[in-house]
Amino acid sequence: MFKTGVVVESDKESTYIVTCDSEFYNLVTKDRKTPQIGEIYTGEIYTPGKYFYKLIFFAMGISLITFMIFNILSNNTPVYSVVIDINSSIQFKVDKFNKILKVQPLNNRGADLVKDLELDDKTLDIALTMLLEKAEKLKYLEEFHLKKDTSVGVYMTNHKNALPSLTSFKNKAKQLKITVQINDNGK
Amino acid sequence: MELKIFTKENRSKFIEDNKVFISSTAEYFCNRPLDWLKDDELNIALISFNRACESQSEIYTNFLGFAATLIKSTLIQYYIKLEEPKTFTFFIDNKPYEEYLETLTDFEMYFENKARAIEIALLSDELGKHRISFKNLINIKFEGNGLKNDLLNLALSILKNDELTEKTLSSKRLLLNKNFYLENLSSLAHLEWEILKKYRKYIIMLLLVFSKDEYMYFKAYLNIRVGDSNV
Repeated sequence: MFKTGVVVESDKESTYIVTCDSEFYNLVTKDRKTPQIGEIYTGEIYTPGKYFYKLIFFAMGISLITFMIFNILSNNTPVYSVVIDINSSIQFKVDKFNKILKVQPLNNRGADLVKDLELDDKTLDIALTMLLEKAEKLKYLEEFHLKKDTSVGVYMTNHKNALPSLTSFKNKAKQLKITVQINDNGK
Repeated sequence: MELKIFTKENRSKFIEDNKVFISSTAEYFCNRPLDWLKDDELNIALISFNRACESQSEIYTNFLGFAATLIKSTLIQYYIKLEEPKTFTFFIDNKPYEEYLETLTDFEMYFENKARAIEIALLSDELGKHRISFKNLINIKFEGNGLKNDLLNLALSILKNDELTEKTLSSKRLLLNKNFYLENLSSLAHLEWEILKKYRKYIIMLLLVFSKDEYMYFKAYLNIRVGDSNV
């Protein structure tokens, strides 16, 4: 509701007026431009509830945005690293949901292995399985078949969460008759 | 309007030329048609207009606006002192004033705002002496105009009696005293003592505004007219 009257007091938030029928009102100061005392002013009546709810919605909005930003940032933050050694070494940076954020070959053979493979956003289990399949195609696994005491090493560092299951990877290794040795933080 | 320096002759002519303005201003406030031969209000309005002419060299705002303000202020004082009781009413619509505002130049508006600002600063100080602020007055709510008009008429009735006015204003908490109410105000108020207690700050504000000549522009802005709203 709008009212018109003479300004008797004002600040950036509120403008106090007296109307021509001698009632005093607290109006919302438009654009935070403080009107002069004595001038005739028209504005919307200040309703505390309305502004309280606006404040609540504003606070909720800010919290939601903060939560979303935090979530996006935390989703894109690597929480641990995994290095797989199959005659070639590849390092993965993995997020808290065990998804691959970054693939880093540590030698030339490793670069050949990950070439043409879309590993980003795949789970660690799937990514390792895909690597094993590609290694089989490139015949990197032959010496593992020949030498019984040689195994594919998977080394995890800074791993604070529960160990990911890696079921698919283990099954694939079993299928390919490869021994896998998993080392979690040196254990 | 151009600034004129009046001589005796041209002032008489100027007043004569503005008789319609004088009567319409007085009739709007008095809320009834007035007769130059019968009604004192027109003579009072004419004297006020003459006073406005005398002070024209000292005023910077729109002359007719100033004259109308002076006429209204003088008529309020006239009615306060009149023996015969009159009823006053707050009117919400104030078309003549809105139309008048539209005619003002920025320069005239600036000086009117400034004049009101000075009065508001004075009123704020006076209210402060009674521990009342404008923020206190914002919290006072009226349902309809009936009670507000009753409080206005009570304040103007108190002002008819200088002693009662002084007594009421001199003690900061006097209106809260039931004995004082029963002795002095019950015949004027036609209101319960509890109502007076609840609206004490508002009554004090009205008393301060209408007891002094200093608040001429403030009084002129308040749209008070004689009689009921349905007259």
